[in-house]
Amino acid sequence: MIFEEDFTKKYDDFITVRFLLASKMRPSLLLLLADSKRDLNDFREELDKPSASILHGLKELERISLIKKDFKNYSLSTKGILCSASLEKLFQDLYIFQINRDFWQNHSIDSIPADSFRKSYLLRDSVFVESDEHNLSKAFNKYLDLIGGCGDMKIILPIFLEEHLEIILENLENGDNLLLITNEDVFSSLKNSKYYEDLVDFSKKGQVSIRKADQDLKVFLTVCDDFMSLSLFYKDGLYDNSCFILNEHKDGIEWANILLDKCLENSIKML
Amino acid sequence: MEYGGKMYYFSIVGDELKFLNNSEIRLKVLVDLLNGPLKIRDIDRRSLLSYSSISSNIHKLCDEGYVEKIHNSFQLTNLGLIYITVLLDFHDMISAISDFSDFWLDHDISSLSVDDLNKLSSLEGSELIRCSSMDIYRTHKEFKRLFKNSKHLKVIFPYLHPEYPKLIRRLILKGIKVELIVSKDILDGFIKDIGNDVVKKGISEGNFSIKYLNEDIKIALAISNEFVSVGLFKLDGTYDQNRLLLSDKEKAIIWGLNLFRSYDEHALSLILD
Repeated sequence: MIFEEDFTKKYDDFITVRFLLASKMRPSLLLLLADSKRDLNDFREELDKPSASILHGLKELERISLIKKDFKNYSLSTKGILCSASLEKLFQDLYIFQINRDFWQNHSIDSIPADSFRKSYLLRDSVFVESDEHNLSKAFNKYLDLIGGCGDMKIILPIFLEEHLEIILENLENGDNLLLITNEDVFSSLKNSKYYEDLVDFSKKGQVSIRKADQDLKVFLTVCDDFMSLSLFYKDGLYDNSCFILNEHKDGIEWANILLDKCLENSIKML
Repeated sequence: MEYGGKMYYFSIVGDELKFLNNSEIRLKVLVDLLNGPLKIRDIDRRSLLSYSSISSNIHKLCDEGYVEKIHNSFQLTNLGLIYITVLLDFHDMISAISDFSDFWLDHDISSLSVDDLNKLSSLEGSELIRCSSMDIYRTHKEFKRLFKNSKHLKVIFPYLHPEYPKLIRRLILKGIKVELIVSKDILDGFIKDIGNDVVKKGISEGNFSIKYLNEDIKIALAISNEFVSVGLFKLDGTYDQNRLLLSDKEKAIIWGLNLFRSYDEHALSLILD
């Protein structure tokens, strides 16, 4: 991961953060109140907790003006609305990492800027496409299916594979466009391959742009109109072709475009 | 639990967050390790925490997969890096709310979208300008001062103050690029006070545009090359002239530009005869 600031001096106080997160009751109450005002009975039914615990949590939130009480009903203050929205973002940010901890723990995240992790709520609807013992090429085949006829393509490509290029060229034949960001090694392989001449021709027609990143690429990212996919390398430097993250929603595609744009900023035009 | 609902995501990550936040020491150790691998005695030296507390908590963090031991030093795992990065963003959002509590409390925030709220950490480190009994026009004066030094300006005006059209007029005549969005109710008055001739001149020369919205605007926003300022309405419907949130940080200016853009997309252009 790429960091851009010194954190130690800035973060020496976690009082409010811990107030909100060291208990499961307080965030639950704030999240429920974000939907609508509620009374104690509503909370009891939804949380299945004793009244005393709920009332204690409500009093704590009321004490710092996050909620208001009107007769029997509780509702969020403006400040409470903002805190509740912040909590919701936090939980969505971490969701993609929590549902597949091993994936994130075992792969290199060096090419993903810290800012992308701060926006990972955009990835909340992603799925992990994984090969298994019954089908070792499940992830690979699924990727080929997705990219076939996917329309315009923006790809960060740190690996060279003929199967990918065959499909990319078919798409180009159909009039789609390609923005390819790659590294020195892959670009050399491309240049020496039978596909390069075709890519040059498409480039002359304005359909292809190839750029070289000035950093070691450790992500294989594809962004099309209808999906994004992300594969990573193992920490030992080998590419993992057995699993990728797939997102077919607007938010996931936005996340991928942000990462791609960051990489684009630090690249030079090759073709 | 409903998949994708608010409580669903909390149910998945709540226990991990509770574990990390149960101890201030754990959070401080994770923050310290963001700067690179450290030995326990290095962390001990840098902080006021006791060696035994650091040792006990760092081992708990290892057990839960947030920290790993390499030779005699400790470093963040990928998950440790990700969790503390996201938590610090949350910290910034909460700071932006808590530090300016009276700016948000009892104010109308309906003008902010979910996306604006999700990026609220961008406002961390802003300054809240408050009027006082010794300086009842402080926000107004600050607003005017900022305008004067701007090279280009994007402003959403939800109300008409007699001095602002004059100020805008001077900026247009100086050739400074100004983009305005106002509510329809005040559009005619604004143009009249700037001066029809100056408005036409600015539009034709490309350094001025004025758009309007038919609905009520519940935010005052000004963005220049150097600052962003935000003003809100109170819940009783009146504009709060006593508070102005101000930042000169790049991330806050970007936040303001995104907010302006979202209004700009819906605003209608003025067609002059």
